[in-house]
Amino acid sequence: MKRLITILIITYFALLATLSAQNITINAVNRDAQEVFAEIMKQSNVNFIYESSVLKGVTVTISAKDQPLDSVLEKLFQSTPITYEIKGRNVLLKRQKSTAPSKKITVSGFVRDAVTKEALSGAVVRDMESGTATATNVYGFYSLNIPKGDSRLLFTYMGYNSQSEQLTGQTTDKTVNMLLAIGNELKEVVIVGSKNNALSVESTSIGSYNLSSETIKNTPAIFGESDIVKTLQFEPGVSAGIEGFAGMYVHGGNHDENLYMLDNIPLYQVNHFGGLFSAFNTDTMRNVDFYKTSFPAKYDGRLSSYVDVHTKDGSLESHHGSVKLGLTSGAFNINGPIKKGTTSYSLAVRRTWYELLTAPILALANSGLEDDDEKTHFQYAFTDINAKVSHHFSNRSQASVMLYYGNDILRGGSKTNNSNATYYSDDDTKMSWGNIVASVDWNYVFSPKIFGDFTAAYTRYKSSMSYMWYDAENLASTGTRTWTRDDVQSRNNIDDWIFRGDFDWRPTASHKVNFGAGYTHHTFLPSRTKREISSSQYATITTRDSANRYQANELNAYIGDDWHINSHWRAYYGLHLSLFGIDGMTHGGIAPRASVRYTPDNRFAFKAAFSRTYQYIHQLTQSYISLPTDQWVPITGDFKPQSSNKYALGAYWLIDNKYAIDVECYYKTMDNLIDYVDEYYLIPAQLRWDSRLTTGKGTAKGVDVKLSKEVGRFTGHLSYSLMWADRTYAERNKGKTYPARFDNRHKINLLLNWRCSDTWDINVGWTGQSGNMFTLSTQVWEYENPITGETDQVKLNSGINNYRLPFYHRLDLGFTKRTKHGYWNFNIYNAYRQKNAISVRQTYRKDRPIYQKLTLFPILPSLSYTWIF
Amino acid sequence: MVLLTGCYTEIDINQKQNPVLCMNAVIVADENFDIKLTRSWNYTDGYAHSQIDINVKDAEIKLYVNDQYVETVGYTEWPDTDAYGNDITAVGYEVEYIPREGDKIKLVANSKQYGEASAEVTVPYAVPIDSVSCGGTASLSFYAPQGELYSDGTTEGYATSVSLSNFYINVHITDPANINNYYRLDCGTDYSLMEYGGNSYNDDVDDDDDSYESSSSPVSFYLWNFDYESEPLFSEHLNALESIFGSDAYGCTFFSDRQISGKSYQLHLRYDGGSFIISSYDQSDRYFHVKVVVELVSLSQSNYNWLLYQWQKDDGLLGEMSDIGFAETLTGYSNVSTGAGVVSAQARSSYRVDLYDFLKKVVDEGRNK
Repeated sequence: MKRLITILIITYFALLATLSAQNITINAVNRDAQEVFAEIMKQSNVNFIYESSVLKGVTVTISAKDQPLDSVLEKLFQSTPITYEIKGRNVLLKRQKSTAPSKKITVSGFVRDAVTKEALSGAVVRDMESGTATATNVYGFYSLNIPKGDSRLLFTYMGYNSQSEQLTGQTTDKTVNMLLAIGNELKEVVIVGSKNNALSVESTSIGSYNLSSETIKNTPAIFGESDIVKTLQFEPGVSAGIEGFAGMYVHGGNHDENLYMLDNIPLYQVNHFGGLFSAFNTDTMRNVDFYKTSFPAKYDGRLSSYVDVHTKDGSLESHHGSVKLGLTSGAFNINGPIKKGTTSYSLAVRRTWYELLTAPILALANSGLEDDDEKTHFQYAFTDINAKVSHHFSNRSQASVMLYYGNDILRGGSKTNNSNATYYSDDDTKMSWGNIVASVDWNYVFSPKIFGDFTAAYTRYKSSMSYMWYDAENLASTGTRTWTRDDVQSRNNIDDWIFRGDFDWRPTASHKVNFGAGYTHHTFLPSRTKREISSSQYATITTRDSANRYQANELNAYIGDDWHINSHWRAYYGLHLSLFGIDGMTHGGIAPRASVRYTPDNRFAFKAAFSRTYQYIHQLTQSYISLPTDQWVPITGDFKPQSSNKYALGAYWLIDNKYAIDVECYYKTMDNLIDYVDEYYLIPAQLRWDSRLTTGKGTAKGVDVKLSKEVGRFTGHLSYSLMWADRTYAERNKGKTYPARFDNRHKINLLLNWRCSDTWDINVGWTGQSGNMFTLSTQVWEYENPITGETDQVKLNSGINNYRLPFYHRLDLGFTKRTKHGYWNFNIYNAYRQKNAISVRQTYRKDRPIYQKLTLFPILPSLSYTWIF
Repeated sequence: MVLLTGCYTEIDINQKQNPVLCMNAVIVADENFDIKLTRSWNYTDGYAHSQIDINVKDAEIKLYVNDQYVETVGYTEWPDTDAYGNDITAVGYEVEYIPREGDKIKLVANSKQYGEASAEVTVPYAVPIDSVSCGGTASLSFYAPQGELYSDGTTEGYATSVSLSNFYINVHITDPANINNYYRLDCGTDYSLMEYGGNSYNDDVDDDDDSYESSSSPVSFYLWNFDYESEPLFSEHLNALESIFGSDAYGCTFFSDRQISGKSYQLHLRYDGGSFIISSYDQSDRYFHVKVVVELVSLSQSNYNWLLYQWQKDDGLLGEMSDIGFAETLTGYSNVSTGAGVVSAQARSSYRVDLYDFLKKVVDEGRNK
């Protein structure tokens, strides 16, 4: 056998030497390749083997005199897309694989709505020849590397007619801007959502969704106020917190661990009305990106999730708008061109209208009172205003100016003015909290492969409270006037100056790189309280707390690469670096991100991901609802940045391009978490705010399963989550690990949207979950002061979150009736009037000690009308 | 709106735990003290004492002072009177040792049935009051040298009545440095005229109780409507939102030294009104020797924390929110190892201000008009 092999090897090399030894002489200039092959075949006695398409359009140029075959072949094919391989007497010819950059061109451009010219984010652009595809970024920009020559580009976007563009013999980079129109054939089906189903198989990300404003509007919500957070509460792995409120506890995290961004700018105050509604007006939204498990390198600064809200630019072609009147608020929005085709505006205002009720009612009540009686006043209102002006300088350059103002105000008090002018009393309380954002954004297409976006912004978060009490009396006996005045003022501010640049770079067909950097200058005023008591009788007494103003500098840089390794494998890897300097200290964070996807075919995908995140700013809250006393504070003193490591696995199945089943598992560790110590209220508020805090860690793990359907008249999803979350702090619960408050073990969500006719939509939302954890004192003890005999029955601390409230479930219904000029929306919150418990208290019934559960919301119907023009 | 829509319904919770020892004691420097030893109970089991006997009688309590064993005390019963003067049988664990300022007291209780409980407290040092000054607006509102004043306005015999308004008491203290101090300020009046042959009549005015009257005293002196807001230290535990939502410092005269640590400070106490009445045929000047009594009680931290907890539970925003589940449940403060009971300590200093000059001047001016 060995001999046989030796003979074969010798024969092979001898033959090779023979072939090589057959020298060839040939001259050709731009001649057809087949003619040249014929000449070579004559001189060398070799065969050329190839498919006919290989030589399509190929001409060759060569000048060789008495040279060996391999040298001639090398010269012959050096400037062609053909590779060769000598096998015996045969020369095998192949087209070069389309990886060489010099053989590629870049097609780039913007995809926009055909009517409004608004950018379409997430539209898919696919080269049907090579199969390469990409998606537009939030500005509608795409960049795609395709082989030179013929190609057919297909542009698709959910709810829009697909469009294709034929490129023939294209050898240079090309700009293709595409306008997509809402599909006629789809007008009668539900135009919601995006391509989440397809993305779940195609992308590397785990636990990310793209929500359109239509999806949000189609989610039934309390008081009929469609709300991004209420929609996200229906996603698996997201706990809602207290019933009815816009809380969001993602994968066992805390409420302040979600970063809400409005056009790239972080917001701190994200809700109104104590947390009943979020601060985002859905009328202004284009779409929302939500990341809960694997995070792109761009995002950092929070541990649990990222909600990136993109607002509408406004139509470049015509004016549109709507007016909505609901149970709690009214909204007006309008958008259109300032200069047709180049400049647009968008303005949206939303405000409560309670004053229209409360003001006349109070005026009526006060008018019936005697002059000497106490007259009360009260006002509550929330307002948010979104304004944006966008301008297209050219096909490569666009800019926008965005303003956001969101504010809640609560005011109340009373006045008494004695008719004899002998007595006067006035007390007035005012609370105000919200955000202001002003930003300038400019994006530019540097080259077909590089897109840049630059943002400069100023944001202000403010929460202020003031209380004034004035009491005066004219003493007839002495003829003097005595008075006392008490003023309390407290505020918590954050002022941020933000500068950032973000880039999309498409170096090759298989790599899509995002990178960028940013700088934020923070000014924190965690809490400043001043109290002044003055009187005609004694000197003014003033007390102030000792809160300092902090300046902080935050630097961020990131890079991430989405790498299409081959048709089966795709990987994302990135890094986010951050520096946070405050109080003479600098904290740093190196946050790697990685995920990998394997698809055996285009129906299945398996993924794994890792994300590390850092958080330098956190919110201190004494309650589970949103109050003006909630303070956003930075890391100071001995506290370290909060950090999280998240590991995830996912399996995805796309069925008939209609249904998708996602199964995602995660395990999360959280370090340097910050919370109040046990009995923190024993430490006076006037002390340094961080003296009440302790640091600890937490873990969360679980499985999210989701079945969804995003196309057709009938859409929606059914999901199930199995979750665990716990916390361990040195100075809480005696150092013992305890379950997180919203450690809802099982959670089932059902969200269905049915477009039953041209004029009617029906939306159904059902949620069922294990009850929230609750700190229940089952035992009591008696305090007795042996000196005074005073006694008091006291709750025994039996451990934090030691009791699970009963199973929670609720059905919400929404009905939308479209009319010629708008639509009616009728919502029923808690349709079957389930009495869900939010807490348990100890009380007595007929002298018998009992427990009672508190139920917040019974059935709550609401109605709104939206007029569209 | 949220609260208007809410409602409570009964829920059955079968989550019971084993009782633990509960130890309560208030240790006052230079005074005997006793310890109340009880046990905790499951809330739904019923009422303490009337339905459940929570007294623990089988225990013994070891007393350590400054880490030295001193004595072991057992359960005893002794005759006593309650707050209303009724005869009762007091039960508890009486300690023979008389604690002194600065003593570190450790109590270790052991019950065969309920296990062990321990607590430690240091008796604080009394902080002397530097000075007290008083004043206000006063006028002779009634003078009937021939008659005695009755509450319905009629008179018989001799009577003098002085009305007081905006009465202030400024208390000057110096907080000892390098140590955390906690205080409670008690104010009262003393019109017993003991030095002048009177009986013991006095009235604590910080509880707003102006109903106390003596049928036998020829003199009464009351101050009323104490303004708890007048001294910022009394409301140091209130945050701005609590002020806004109507929580106040009512009933709070306790404070810490966090804002005055190591410094001299003048506390401002205010009363809306008051009265001084002489109801006697004898209109002697000695009756003007009524006194304002100010007592500065140095508290152990456990005592201060307990007072703060009580305020938070009853009046604080946290207590309100935890009641409805919007905040974490507020459980009782305890410095006992089992989490049940409070062992606290106090030391007192007092200061008396004789109002003779103040009242005599007002009365003399009034009588001479």
